[in-house]
Formats: sequence, structure tokens, C-alpha cells
Amino acid sequence: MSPGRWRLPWRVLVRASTPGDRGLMLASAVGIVALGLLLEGPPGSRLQVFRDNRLVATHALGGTAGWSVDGRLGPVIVEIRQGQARLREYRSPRLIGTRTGWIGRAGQVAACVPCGVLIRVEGGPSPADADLDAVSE
Amino acid sequence: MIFCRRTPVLLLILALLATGCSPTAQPVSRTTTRLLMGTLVSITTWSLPTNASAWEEQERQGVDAAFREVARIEGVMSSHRADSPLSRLNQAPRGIAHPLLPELADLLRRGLEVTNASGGAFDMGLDPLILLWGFSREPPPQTVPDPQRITAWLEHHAPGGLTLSGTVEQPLLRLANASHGLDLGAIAKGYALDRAVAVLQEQGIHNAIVNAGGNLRTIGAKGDRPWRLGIRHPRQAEGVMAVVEVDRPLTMVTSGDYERFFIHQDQRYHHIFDPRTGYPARSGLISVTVQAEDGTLADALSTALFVLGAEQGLALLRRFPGSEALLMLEDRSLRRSAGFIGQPVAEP
Repeated sequence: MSPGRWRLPWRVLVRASTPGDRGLMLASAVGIVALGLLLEGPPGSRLQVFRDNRLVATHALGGTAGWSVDGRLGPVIVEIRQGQARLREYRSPRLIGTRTGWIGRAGQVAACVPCGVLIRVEGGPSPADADLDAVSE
Repeated sequence: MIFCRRTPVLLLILALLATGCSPTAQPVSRTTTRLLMGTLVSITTWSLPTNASAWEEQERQGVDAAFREVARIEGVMSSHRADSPLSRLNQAPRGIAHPLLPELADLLRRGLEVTNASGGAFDMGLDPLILLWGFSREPPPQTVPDPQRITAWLEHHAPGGLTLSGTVEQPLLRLANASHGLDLGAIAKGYALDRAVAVLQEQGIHNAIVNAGGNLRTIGAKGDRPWRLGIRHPRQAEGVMAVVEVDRPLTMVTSGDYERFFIHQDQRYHHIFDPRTGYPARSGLISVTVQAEDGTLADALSTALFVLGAEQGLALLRRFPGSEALLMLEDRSLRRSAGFIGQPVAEP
């Protein structure tokens, strides 16, 4: 659709609504975005990589990157792509870190405990009103 | 739509309030996670960011100190580290009293109270049995060990095989024979929770959750609302079976047959052993959650109740005032003690 074609529906929308309606629509849109962030956590901006609880690397979540960390059971691959990150272990028996999949929200963690490798998405404090604060298991 | 002049402004304020965006600064909770005690240990704190930098630094130092305390406890009580004081006791000759750290002796003394009250259902001397089954190894086992080896272990593993003596300052421990070896996997995480929380409080942090592999201990609250905790559903990997809201010091420990297990010939074999049989406990329970203010006690009781089953388990609970429990039976029905905090979640 060319830019000119947008003008007609926009004019109709402007004529059919008051400033109050438009303010309400804007506020609703802002609210929906804010609610989404509160429920899921804000998107992360960087990835921290820990080996035996020592920070061994920090990397921006933008762009594409991949590298290997020497885990206790062998190499663990850390990948970054399109604002998300994941780890892949090859010799861990249950591959729990790999099964965690891609993570991209602030506070999310993936770990291979037998390998001693943990990755964590950073990006500011986590939301104060997430649904559950912790799970007993 | 009919508007007065102030309507848009009022609507905007209402919309912002409805989505939680108040004009004042929002409180924040921060979670830090480390790999300790063979699991993920997380500390979540709640604070107001008004006096941001100084408080954040104090909070960071407090959380670091708590993690150091957990790491220290792991260094003392791990049965996986060959150089830990606990492992050295396991390597020492049997039938002789050996000196041990007063801290270790104190924890064993507290555990033995549960051992005695539970008629041996809670047992801190199962290291040889756990090694025999292989649940402490990676990968976890897929087959049942030779039954004759379990029988041989059982013949020599009598109640009272773990004896403390000496003084408070210079305690001694005697392990009766090779069927007894220390494994504190059913009590040490609870103790670590207690110590981590004590360190946080010493450091001026009064609103926090310490989570050691799913064993939780809370202090304070999340501002003007309680901490909101879930209890994992034993048969729904991502689901919870109950939600607990708490705004006071509380430990919540769950023992279940779903964490480490294998299926062999249609039978589930898990990692919580009945010391009286040498096999995984089959008491009719699939999940036990114990609440108590004391983490050490809650941890020990959750295992004891799982082994004993619903009737005997709830009877044991009554011997420890202030402790409460939620049990899920094999048929997925729930039983709870009168003072258990929390509401079950309806199954889909």
C-alpha cells in the first residue's frame, strides 16, 4: 500500500474520534506493552557466561555470535542470535541446558550443572510483579 | 462518546493505574543465580530503588556473602568432594570414633532427632546405598542393582549405626560398619538455607527468597504484598499444584519422586530411599511439601514424611510443632495438615 493510501483511513479515524478517544487508544496501547513487559520481563541487553560461578564472558545480545566454553565434561557452545542466547552441551548426560532453548528476557537462566556452565540474560532488574517469585520442587 | 474537558486526562490516569504504571518509582526484585551444592542456588531480593547506588552495593555485598556461606557449607558437607571433612569421615575406618567439626556434629545431632522420631525413616547414613544405586552419578541409572547386593547392604545397615559422642567442642562420630556412610543430601540444603538467610539479615537484607534447588526460604515480603510461591506439580513439568503467599520467615521444602528417577519394567525408581528396604520409598506419596520456619528441620521432615506415607507422616509432623505439610498421593488426591499455608491449584 502506498503512503497516500493510508491518508484516507487515517482521516476517517480522526474524524470519527475525539481527542479523548485518541488519548484513550494511546494509553491502552502503552498499557498493553507495559503489561507484556511486566508479565514476561524486559528484553535483555547482554549475556553473562559463568564457569564454576566465575564470570568468564559478557556479550551484547545483539547480532550473531558463538563460542565455546570449557565445561567440566567438555566444550559447551554458547550462541547469540537476534537478541536471544542458548547453550548447547554435548557430553552432559541429560542435556538440560540444551533443552532450555533460547532465552532472551532479563533474568532468564540456562545452565548445565554437570558442566559447571551457566548463562544469564542481563538487562536491568526483573519485574516486581511477575506471577510467581519462586517454585518449590 | 461524550467527554468533558477533563475526561481524557482522567482516562489516561486510569489506564496507567490499571497497568501498574504509577508515577512513583517502582520497587524491584533482583535474582542472582549460582551453581552450588550440585544445583542452582538463587537469591531474590526486593528493594526500593530510591537510594539506588548505595543500597544496590550493600545488597550486592550481602548476596555475595550469602553465596560464600553456601559455598563454605558445600565445602564441608559434600560427599562428592574427596577432600571435604565429610568425605574424610566416610573414608575413615569403621567401628572407631573419629573427631569431626562441631558444626557437622551439630547438624548430625539435629538430624538424629528426626531419625529417632521417625523410627529410622530419615537416615543420614545412606551413602553406600546411594552409590550402589548410582543416583549420585551422571548419567543417572537406568537399571536396578543386583538385589543380592541390596540384601547384603540391608543385613549390615541397622538403626543406630551412626553414633555421636564426645563434647560439644570436641565431638566424635562412629560409623558402625561399611554399610553406613554419611550423605547429607536430605538435610544440608535446608541448613544452607538457614545460614544464607542469617547472613543476609546480618547484612541488612530483610526481604528475600533463597532458593537452593527448589528448597525455598523466605524473609520479609515483596513490599506491600506477600511473596508468591508455587509448589511444582509432580506430574506436570511446567505446572504447579498449589500457590503459597507468605510475608513472614518460612521454609518450604518439597520431596518428590519426579526429580531423579528411571522407569524399569513399568516401575518408577526414584532417588528417595526407604532405609528399611534398601529400595526407593513406596509409601503411596508422590510429593511432600513441608513448611517450617527452620530450614534444616523442614528439609529432614520432607524426606521422612515421603518415606513414612500419609498417616505415619502426619503423625510425625505433630511431634514438631510449627511444621506443616501438603501431601500428594498416587491417585493425585491431596492431604494437608491444618496449618499449611497455601491454596491448591485446580488441575486442568
